[in-house]
Amino acid sequence: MPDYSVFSHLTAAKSEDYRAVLAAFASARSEFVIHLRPAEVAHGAGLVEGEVELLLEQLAEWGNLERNRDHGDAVTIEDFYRTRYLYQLSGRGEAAERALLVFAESVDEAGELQAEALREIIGYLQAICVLMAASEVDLPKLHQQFSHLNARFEEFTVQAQRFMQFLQGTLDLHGLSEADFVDYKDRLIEYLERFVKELVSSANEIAGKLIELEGAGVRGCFDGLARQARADALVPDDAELLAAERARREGRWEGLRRWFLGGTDGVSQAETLRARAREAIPALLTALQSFHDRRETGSDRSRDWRCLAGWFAEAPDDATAHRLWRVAMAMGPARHLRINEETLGRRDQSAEGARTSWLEAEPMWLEPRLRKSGRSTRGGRPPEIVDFSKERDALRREAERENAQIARAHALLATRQPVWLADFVKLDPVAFDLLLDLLGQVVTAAGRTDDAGEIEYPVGATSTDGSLSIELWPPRTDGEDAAIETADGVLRGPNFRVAIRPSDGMSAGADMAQVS
Amino acid sequence: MREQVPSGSRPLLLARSGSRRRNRLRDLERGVDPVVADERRRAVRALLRRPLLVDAGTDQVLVNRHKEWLILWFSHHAGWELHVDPEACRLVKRPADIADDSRPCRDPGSKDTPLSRRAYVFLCLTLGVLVKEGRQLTLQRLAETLAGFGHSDATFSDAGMSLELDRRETRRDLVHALRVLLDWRVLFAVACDDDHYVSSGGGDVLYNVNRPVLSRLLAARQPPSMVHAEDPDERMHEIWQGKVAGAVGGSEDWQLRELRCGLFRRLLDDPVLYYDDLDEAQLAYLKKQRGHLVREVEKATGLVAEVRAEGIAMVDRDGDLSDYSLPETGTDGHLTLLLATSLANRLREGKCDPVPVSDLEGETRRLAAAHPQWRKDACIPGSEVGLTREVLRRLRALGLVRLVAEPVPAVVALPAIGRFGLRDSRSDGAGQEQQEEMVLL
Repeated sequence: MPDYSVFSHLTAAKSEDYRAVLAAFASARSEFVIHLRPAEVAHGAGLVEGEVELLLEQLAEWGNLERNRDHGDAVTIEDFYRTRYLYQLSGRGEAAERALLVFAESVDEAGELQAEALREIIGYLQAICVLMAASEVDLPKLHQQFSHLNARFEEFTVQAQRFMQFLQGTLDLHGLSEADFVDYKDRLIEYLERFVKELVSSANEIAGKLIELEGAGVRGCFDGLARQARADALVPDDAELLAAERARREGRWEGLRRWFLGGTDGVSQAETLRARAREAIPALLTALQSFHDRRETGSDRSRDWRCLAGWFAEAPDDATAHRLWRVAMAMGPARHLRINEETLGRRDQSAEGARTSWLEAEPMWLEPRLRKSGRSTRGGRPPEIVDFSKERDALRREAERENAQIARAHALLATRQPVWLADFVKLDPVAFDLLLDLLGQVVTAAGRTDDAGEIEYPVGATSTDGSLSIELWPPRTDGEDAAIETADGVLRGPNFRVAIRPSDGMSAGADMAQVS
Repeated sequence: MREQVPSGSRPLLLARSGSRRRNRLRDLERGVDPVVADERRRAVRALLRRPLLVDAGTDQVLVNRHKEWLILWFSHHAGWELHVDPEACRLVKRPADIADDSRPCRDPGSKDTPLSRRAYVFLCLTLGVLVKEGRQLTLQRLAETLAGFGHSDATFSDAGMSLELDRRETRRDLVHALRVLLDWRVLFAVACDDDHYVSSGGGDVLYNVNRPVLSRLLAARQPPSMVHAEDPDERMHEIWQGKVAGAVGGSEDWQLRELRCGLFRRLLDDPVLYYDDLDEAQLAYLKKQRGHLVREVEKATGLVAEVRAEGIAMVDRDGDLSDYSLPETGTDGHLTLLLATSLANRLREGKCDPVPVSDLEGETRRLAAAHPQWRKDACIPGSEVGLTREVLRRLRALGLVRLVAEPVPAVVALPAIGRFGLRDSRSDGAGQEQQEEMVLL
């Protein structure tokens, strides 16, 4: 756990003075003056020298400043006797100052969505691509490009995040006048739209380049880049620090990749940012709506309601209260008398008109039961439910019998193999009907093809109920007629060769292929 | 002419003038096929039945679909504003006059009893609080604020109304008011801790506030806080009419339009329009324009016009466009029908003097004895007073009778009740019995 005592001065008693002292150091630093004497600090911070010495001591204790003996010549006699120190910001003190600066900036700044940054990032990636494509990788230049890329990307993401937070905050829109708000809204929407458009077009390109670079082996360069980065360090070959530097680069690449291509959960940050920017627009419009509402229902409305409440309290009776209600709220239902179709029908037949009085016109027709008992349906026990189970059984048995007959007929006829018609020597009525039906279908079909010229055998057809299919070949030229005996008589006709099979949707051609 | 332009309908600014609006309406109505006409009719009926539609399912969908026509139609014919948003549809049904007290606010949770005066006060104060609050509110917090109003504002104590929520009656009134707000979807109960608020004052409920609906509730033309009249009638008149010049001043066109709108509103909202109730100007206008008015109402709402010598009644086939219905099932409904029939027959025979209420009470007693299948408490002696009062309230609400107080409380039957009479020639088998039952006075 690092030591946070460098921040202690923020909550100490004289925190303003401490800040003033540190600010003096910071401003001296910007003029490249590193060491300061107490007198200079006092001058810079606008404090008395005696006080400043105490402050400086305390800050040195906390670690913000470093103290060294002042070996310069004394100017006055008191100086000679006093221990003089030189102060400078310590490393940790500097880091603390930087952190506080970032803090101050983030709090105040609204952030921005930098569409330009995207284009620059594309430029850097393009340059990196070119450098990688060269036969010998120019490490210094590559290093430089990567530094630019990282810096720019960092800024872009930080600013974008700040902007989205700012947007969230301002959606409450307190205290804006309507004209200001309308203006702001238009500008904001334009801003967001411009950014989203840029993001959409750039994000794809950037993602493409990232993949390209990975393909070209950019990760392999990180080693060299790390070495390059540490070229100016005191100990360039420190293995641990090298590894750390390399890891840092890997991490940044990973971050870049994740931002534009998405991590394991699949959604890239670019997508998220785009979604949030787009969501901001309807959220803004909702805020506008509530703004309008608040404007309409402002404090005036509240007073109106209270005034109305007073009126209700002062109403002399309930009737007045109800009248006031109706006038103030205007929410009562409509009310109408009824009419039914019978009455309308009767009126059509009578000669009433606009001059007839209600007292002489046809009255409304109501069921006598309604007048007698107040109900229009008959009361009492509902009728008994009749039991039809016996009849149902009989019907079911009948149906079963019929199905059995048809199944037998099917079994008889559906030989699947081609047979001569004459082979059906005797048929029961159900089978005979079925055969006749099949023959009728197929002969008609054969007759049809005849018009075109030659008949192509076999001719196929299905029965009318679709359960059997038949194929027909011509009879033997020298054969005799077929004679089938049935209960109604004997059927004589050409002794066709037929193949009857149960139809299950396959075409006749396929069947034939199987058979042959 | 000064008019509220409905929000969300900026293009209709162009249709502000009467003739442009009429032309636009005509455009929208030309060549409309029956399906569309039927949908529009249903939308009109839905709005007439319930002028504030929030989460209302198909009805709201239909209103949204035909909102341009609806806004124009209501504005042109009835002078009513219609605001249609995705969340809520609100028809501001300003009444034709300020004399109607038969349509109070009703609490849906306790069998539609009208609110008491204190409940009205609570309702208005709650709305005042909701307007300033954020998006959520609890019952206890509301109760504290209301009690605070009671202390700080002298109006309530001067009027003798205590807003302290330590008594059961007061708490019940608050609950009635909140139930009305829940019914309108202004409030939405998110979490209910305990249901014993009325009996014990404990328990709490968390509500979400529906702000868009909240802003649409008040229908006053003039903000009540800017009205300085003291007399209740004057106050009502001012918030009803607004600062626009009433009967005095205004162009002739404008006056004619007000006349027409007034008649149209009556036809749309009230059960019977009697010629005797109209003044000369209205009567003259009605005589000329009756056909057009009646036809327009019929076409748009599906009601059937019953035009008679004494007045016009727009009657409903389906029976769902009314809060009271005659006939209705139940003891009250049956009794109402029987008493209406007896009064109608009496009127048809030519006896038009007022009937004392006590006579009707006697009638009720006899009928209660003759109908043992009625409600148990209808057979208790002494209950006929309450029953008769309820029946008379209904008949009055339906425009069938008028109540007079001098010299004795009595009932004057109005002509429209004649439609509930029985013709002697139509005995229908049970006619003879019916005549014996209706022992006329």
